[in-house]
Amino acid sequence: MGFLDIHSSMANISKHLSIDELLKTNEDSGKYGLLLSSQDALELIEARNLTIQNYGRVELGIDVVKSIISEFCSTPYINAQDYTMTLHELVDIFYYMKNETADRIGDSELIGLMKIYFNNSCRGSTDLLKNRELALIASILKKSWDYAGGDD
Amino acid sequence: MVESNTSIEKSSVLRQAHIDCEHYTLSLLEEGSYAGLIDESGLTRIQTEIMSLLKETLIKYTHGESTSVKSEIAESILTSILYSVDAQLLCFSPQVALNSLIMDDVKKTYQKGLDLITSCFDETKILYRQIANSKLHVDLYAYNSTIDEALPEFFAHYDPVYSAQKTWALMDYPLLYSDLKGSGIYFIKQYLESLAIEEHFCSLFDHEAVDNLLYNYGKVYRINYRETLINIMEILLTNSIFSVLSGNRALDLRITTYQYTLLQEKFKDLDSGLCTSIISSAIITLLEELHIDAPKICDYIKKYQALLMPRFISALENDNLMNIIIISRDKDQPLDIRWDEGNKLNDDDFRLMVEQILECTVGTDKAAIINSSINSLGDFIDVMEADCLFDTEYTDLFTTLGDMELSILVRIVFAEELRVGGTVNLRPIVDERQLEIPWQIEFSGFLNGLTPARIRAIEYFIPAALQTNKPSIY
Repeated sequence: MGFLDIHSSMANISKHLSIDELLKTNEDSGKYGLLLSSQDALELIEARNLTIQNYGRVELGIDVVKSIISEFCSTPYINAQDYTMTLHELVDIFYYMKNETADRIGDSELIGLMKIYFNNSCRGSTDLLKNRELALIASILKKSWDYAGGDD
Repeated sequence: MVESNTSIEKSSVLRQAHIDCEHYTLSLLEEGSYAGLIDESGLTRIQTEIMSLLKETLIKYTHGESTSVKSEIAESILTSILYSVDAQLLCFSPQVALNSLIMDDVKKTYQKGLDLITSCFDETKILYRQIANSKLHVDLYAYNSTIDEALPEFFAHYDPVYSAQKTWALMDYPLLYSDLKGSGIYFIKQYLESLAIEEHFCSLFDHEAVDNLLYNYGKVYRINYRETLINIMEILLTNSIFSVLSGNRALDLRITTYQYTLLQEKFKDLDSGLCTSIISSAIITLLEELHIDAPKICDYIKKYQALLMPRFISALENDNLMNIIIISRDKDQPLDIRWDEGNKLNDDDFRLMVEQILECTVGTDKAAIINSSINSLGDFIDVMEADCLFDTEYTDLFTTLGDMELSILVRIVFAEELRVGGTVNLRPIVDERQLEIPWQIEFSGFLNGLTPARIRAIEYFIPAALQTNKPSIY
């Protein structure tokens, strides 16, 4: 009966609760002129669900999306027009990197790194963030992991 | 109630046949929903509680550093959670268990289940230690590696929180019955409980006799038994059953060629019902003789008949019972007759050997000297009359002889009776004859101590002994 299908459970159980949770982030991000509508929140949750499913991951709750909003809302490189789109990209990059680094970097640490590169060397480019800076980190980690003969 | 695919009526009771003990919680919810015992909101609440439990466990798994994991890890942890919930709910009947799911907090049920699993793990580990401490001394790779490597590996890696359902261990050694169900610690517990019974049974037998039987089993099947996945109890139990039917004691795993022939005769032309009845009686005798009265072990052994009978009947019909009944041949079995009349010792060598025997104080050692030095029947009789063997030392020597050699000695000692009587019924002859020569008196006593089956085997060779070795030649 698919009663405990994890992905459908995630999608169905938490959606309405998650929308409310995301809308609460407007309290902080609003200070920087960045606001999500209910429709934006819904689309962001659906995009997140699709992303993690595509990356073969599971997350119960939307803590990561909330953390990304909390960290990136103060960046000078995001404006109200591309706020939702940038969040979609950052969420995608986050889960992509979780896989690329085989979960060896914690959530907070990864979001912190993303913010540093995004605000500095990438100057707000999600493309450079993903394909240059974070790709380099993933590559270095992978080499050190291979060198150590590690296998989780 | 008769069900049909088109029926849309729902029963208000759970359909027992649809309850799957290996997926107890899920099947209870499915059947509860089908029977209308739990509604949609109840299902959603339970689903939400389980997912919340999964979320908490995932956070613990990542040490709070990550809120997401790979799908396969999440699925494995979810299965582990359900394994614990199942463990607790399986303490109840389906109806009570479903009520517990409806009424109680799933997290509490999970915690109770986890406690049960942890305590089962501790009990199973103790059981493993007992089994390892009383391990059989057999040269069987799968058995030894299962106990020495696979099971310790399991106990070192088993994790009741994140992977309670996993079995981990690669236990190659096959049990007598391959009907174990389930997974995780409960599977290992069942495996070890069965192994403990099997080990107990096998330990009743002399380990050299076990080695010898396994060796002969390997010969019959033309396999290196040491590296084959065979079950020791199956081989021992089978031969013990047929040993009982041959007139031996249940502990005697040896079945001679002659006894095998008698068994063939015994079962020839019997219908399968009668065969089953005979073997069933033999199993009862075996249990009595081995003093096995623990119901669990008795049931385990009796259950074997269902496994044995189809193979036995098939072998009987195809005239290849020797694939079932393993005929005993010692690993270093001597020739049927070790005596060669043209190979007598000269006087000096004979005297030297007698001196050696007299210096020796242990009967079995004396027998070893005689057997390694003497190659003729004449020398053998001479040494028994050389006043160098005393009391039970004769028995030590006779014990080393095969059926054929004993039959030759019978022919020598009881020549007159055999000639006059024209019969080979040994027991009355031995009982009636008054003997004077010390080795002959001891030999008569030795024969009296043999089982009826062994006596029959010796009797079987007496006509041949008459042909092969004439008493006059020594």
